[in-house]
Amino acid sequence: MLFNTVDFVLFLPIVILCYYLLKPKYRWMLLLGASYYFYMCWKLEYIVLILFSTLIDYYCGLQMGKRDNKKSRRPFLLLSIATNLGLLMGFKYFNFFSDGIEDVFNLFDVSLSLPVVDYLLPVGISFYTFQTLSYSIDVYNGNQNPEHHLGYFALYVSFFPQLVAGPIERFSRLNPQLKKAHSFNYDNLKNGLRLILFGLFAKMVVADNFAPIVDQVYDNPELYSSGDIASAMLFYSFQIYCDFFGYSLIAIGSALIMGIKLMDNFKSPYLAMGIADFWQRWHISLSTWFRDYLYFPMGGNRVKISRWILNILIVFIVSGFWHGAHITFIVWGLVFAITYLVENALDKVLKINRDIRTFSVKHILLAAKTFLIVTIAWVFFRSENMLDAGTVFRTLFTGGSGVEYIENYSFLWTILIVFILIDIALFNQRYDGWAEKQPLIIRWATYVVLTFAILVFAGVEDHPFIYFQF
Amino acid sequence: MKILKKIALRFIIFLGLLIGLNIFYIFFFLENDLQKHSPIINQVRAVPQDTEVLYIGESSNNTAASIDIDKRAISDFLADHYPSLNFADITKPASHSGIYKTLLRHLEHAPKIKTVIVTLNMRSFNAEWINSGLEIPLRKSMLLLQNRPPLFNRFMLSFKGYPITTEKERWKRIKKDWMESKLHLPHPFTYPTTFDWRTHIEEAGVNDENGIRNEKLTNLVRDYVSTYAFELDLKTNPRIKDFNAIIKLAKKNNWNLVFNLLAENIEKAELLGGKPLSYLMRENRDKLVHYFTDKGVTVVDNLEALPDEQFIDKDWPTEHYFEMGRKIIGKNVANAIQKFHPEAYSPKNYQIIFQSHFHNDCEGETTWSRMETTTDEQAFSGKFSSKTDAENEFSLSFEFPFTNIPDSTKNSIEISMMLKAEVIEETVAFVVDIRGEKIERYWASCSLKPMALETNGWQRIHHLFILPDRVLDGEIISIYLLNSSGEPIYVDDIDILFQ
Repeated sequence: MLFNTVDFVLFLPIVILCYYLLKPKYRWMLLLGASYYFYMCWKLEYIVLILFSTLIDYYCGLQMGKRDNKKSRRPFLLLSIATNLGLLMGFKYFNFFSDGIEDVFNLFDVSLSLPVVDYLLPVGISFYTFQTLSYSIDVYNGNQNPEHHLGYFALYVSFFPQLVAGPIERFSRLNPQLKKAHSFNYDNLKNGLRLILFGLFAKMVVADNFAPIVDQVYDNPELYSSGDIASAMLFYSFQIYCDFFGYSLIAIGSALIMGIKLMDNFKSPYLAMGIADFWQRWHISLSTWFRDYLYFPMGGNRVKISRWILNILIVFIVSGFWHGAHITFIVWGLVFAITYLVENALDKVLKINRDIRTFSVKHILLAAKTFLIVTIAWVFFRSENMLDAGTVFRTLFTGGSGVEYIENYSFLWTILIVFILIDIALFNQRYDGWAEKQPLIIRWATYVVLTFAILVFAGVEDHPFIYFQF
Repeated sequence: MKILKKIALRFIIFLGLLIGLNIFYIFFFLENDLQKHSPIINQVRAVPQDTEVLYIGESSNNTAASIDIDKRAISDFLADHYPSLNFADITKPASHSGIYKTLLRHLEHAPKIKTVIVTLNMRSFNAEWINSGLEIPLRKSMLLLQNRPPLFNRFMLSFKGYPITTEKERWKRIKKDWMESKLHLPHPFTYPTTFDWRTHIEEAGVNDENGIRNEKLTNLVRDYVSTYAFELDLKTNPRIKDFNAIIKLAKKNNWNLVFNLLAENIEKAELLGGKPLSYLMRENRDKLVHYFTDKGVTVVDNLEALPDEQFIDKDWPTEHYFEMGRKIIGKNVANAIQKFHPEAYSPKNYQIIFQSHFHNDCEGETTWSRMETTTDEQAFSGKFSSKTDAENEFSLSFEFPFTNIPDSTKNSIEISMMLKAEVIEETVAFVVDIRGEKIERYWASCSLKPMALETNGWQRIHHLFILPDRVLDGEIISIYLLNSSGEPIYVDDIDILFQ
């Protein structure tokens, strides 16, 4: 079930209504049932994977909770890690590794044919496995008491607003909220609806109108002019941003109506002043996950410089690999790692002070530079393979045949400019907070404009949320 | 309670705003959306105000073979029998009762319609068609035409209020339907379901006369079985529900409703699938005829009206007929609607034509191939001519069964036409193309450069092609003007004389 479908428009109010009609002690059952139904709408069978992951992590958590020291807890942590990474390996990375092994053998003229996995990637598998992993690691480290109630634990793993594409929540933050007896709160309803409205606008009006154009250009880049390639790169930057940002807002808004506050996943990332700043604003729940469960355990920056460089490289490459089992994602991660390191070095050498006034010339220049790097990196992210990415870059500089061209430029640019202006206006704040501060007329005018835009200007082709494939 | 009031008040205000937005949408955006997402509306709007009989169908109506002398649609042949009545047609490929139902709701502008003839295609009731990939764009294109506030229709379009299924999911459903489709025959039958029958064909294969598995034949048999080996469930089949809605609509509008059950290639079905397959087809036909006749609908049973040779597609089951086939279907429907328009009925008999002189004034009354090249930009006579340019290299083309030309006139062809061109390059030429299984293809061209003037006015040009004896056994002949120059050239009043 996608957020931007009639199904969800009916599903959410029914769940919310039942949620507040039920006694708090039974709500977990409703939410768990609704979450499993929500997930099973994609593919019935894959619910087994969530159940399996849930049961193993629940068991490991309980067992670790019974033991005093890390050494005795370790086997259960390893079991949890092996289970979750095993699921990821089996469903997401198997072909990548088997192809790689075959290629290595081929180098030595040995023909090897390993089996190929051709089943559909379970939606959101990278999200819920990482979410449960964080729980196991926290329990192992003694930072979290194990959950004894299987129902609440299962709900933590599968809570429907954030099940398939995050935000990746920590147990310590989400579980108490799921247990709390929330009474209906008008402000939560109001702000939740505002976030859903703005999220739908970002996804349906911005991302979904850019999607077909980007697909068209990336399918045959050599047929387009340099200008069209540059436009498609720009459009993709905003497509992926609005797609994921829109999804996150709808997720946060849906949960908020039920009194549950999910973490923010985006904070005007394209106005970031550097790569480090960008990663504090883009997919925040994942970058903080990597920071807490990979970067810090490796020593973070409290190590020798060579080791720190290695840590940065590892974190970004793993982050790339998390997105997909393909070399393009690894290169994407590498681009960020290298630019992060170079930027860090330059900051030290040139003594760049990033503590500057918002929207000053310096801010704008630094944001433009960061945006350029990110847009270049997205080419690897979007391309099917390195050859395609190479074609995009080559055509960008040399120009393609120009046989094909992007149509409807004025509409696309209008959308882009409008969205950029909105993004600037909402710098470092969310639409719900912004709307709250506006006079009644302005506030309602934005509701009307956003609603009308969603209804009338939404892209009509079927483009699922990009991050669902991860 | 206070909160509930607050919410209710805002909800009402928002609803009011939506009503206002709906009006705003109708005035400024609806037409653009209709043209973009539901262009079929133009065909519905093109139904003239004074239409008395409306024929609505899918590609069977207007699909013609290149060798057809008269390439007109079934609806045109039907109209031949009622020269005094005003006929119109709406033809949308791959459509079915669900689509017709929506389109028929938009005919308020044609209040004189007395009779509506709706195509009933037996294939459209099967699992493969119901779950076809074509359904997604079709259903999507119908959303804006639903009988609801236009802004709500746009909401349904934006929020994907139509079935979205992947190829894999569709095949899963089709397979499930085949597995659940029990086949009941009057005698013991080896395959209890469509799926079992189909699987057996795929596994065992069909052998040719030398006893070797023939893939093409195997696929054909499998396709016929998949298409026709089902038992129609009148209670659950979605097409029946849609046809019932059409009946309701017809009653409301006082239309005489006619269901034109199209001809299927039952002869070939029996040859490929044996008597059990033709039995199932006939059973389904009987169910449809009885069911709809009982509901007061006139059903024209064409199921077995055409022999195998009248079907154009030989490699898969379709309802695309050659000229004579379309004429027969048109005639059968004409007979059936006689009771509604007895005074206007003027039966017409068709016969195979042997002809050696052909003329086309590009006005559309004589249908040749590439009618899409006709334009009203220029004309020597009437309003239209055929235009060739960078988009269309080939002019309006004469295509004809060469076997229907008397042998005594197969010595030469004199081509004559009016031409208007400012620039004529070497690559502009008359082309004669004769092909057939028994002859080596004959392709001759003659550049127009030496015979035409580069002028802004019309001029008559002509050329005589002498045909070699070896083309006598040719099957199809094509004659056209080839313009590879990209410069616009108009032709009109094309005259072809076999001598």
